[in-house]
Amino acid sequence: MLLCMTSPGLAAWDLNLSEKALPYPAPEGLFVSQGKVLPIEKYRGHKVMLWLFSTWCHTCVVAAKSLEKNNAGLQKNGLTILALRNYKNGGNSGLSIEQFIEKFVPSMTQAENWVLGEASAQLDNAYNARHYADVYFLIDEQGMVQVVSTSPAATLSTIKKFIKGP
Amino acid sequence: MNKIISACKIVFSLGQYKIIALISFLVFLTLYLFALPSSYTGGVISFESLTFLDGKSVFLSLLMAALAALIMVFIIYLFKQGQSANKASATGGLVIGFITPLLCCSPLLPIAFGLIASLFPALNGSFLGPRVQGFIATHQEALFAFAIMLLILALYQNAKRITNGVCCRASTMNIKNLGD
Repeated sequence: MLLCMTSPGLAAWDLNLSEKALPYPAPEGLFVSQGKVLPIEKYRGHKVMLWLFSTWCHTCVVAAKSLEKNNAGLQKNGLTILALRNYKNGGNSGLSIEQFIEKFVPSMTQAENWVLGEASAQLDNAYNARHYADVYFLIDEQGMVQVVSTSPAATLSTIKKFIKGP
Repeated sequence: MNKIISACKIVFSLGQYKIIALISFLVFLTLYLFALPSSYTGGVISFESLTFLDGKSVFLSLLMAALAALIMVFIIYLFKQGQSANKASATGGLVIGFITPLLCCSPLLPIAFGLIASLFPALNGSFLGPRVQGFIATHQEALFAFAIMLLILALYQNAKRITNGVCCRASTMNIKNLGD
């Protein structure tokens, strides 16, 4: 704790949660959005932020608000945000994805670059086998996972760096 | 409450304890101000955590730091008087106050349960880690209230010892000698 406090330059904010060496091909995965089952691959060719979160987590509320605040810049740089509630909401009851967005970031229901949905068991297994409450994957146009991290509000600079490219 | 006020009067009649209290308060306040926003940063503690401070976190930090500082002063006073201090409730209050925001929503618990599941494969695929995390996240206010209650209990227990003063136990032998 003291180390973190005395080392502002510590790369803790770029917390890498990837279990594989980066970059790696994004696994296939299905999710449900507005009653339709969609594959992640549908968004191949776009810069994608696949954000898996649970609606009971405090980090996720702050993250949603931060993404909403910065969405103009994210959208301008071509980022599609797949905001998916974790499969079974990470084993806990809570708001549905629609209720969560409506409650905390209502303007994002109209955002063109946001896709809201619920992760399938298969997607959960492929991307979030450890059942993190808040984890995101930055996938480039070639379908390669470039970043795996948590807490988008705290790691916004990482997301901005990704969309601006090398 | 009277016991706590009386104990404060006794302890703070000595100037050195005012300085110890001030230093302890500042140390605990710094720790709490860094630790409490970590429930919004995925458990990460750094200078940037301070940007996530809100009114509730500041209020809780001030309250818990004040209680912890007073307990610290009481314990030091009792120790210097050669008396034993009650440390269990204080430790419980401090641990719960610091750990709650760190565990809520951070990757720590899922990783820990992942390691446990690697030893006990029957737990694979279970939502045990997220369930514990979900409990912490949805009961965070209650956990903070519990931590504060433990700190108040510790403060009261130690205040009682201070106001009771130094107790000398008379042995039965001494009592017999007094009778002779």
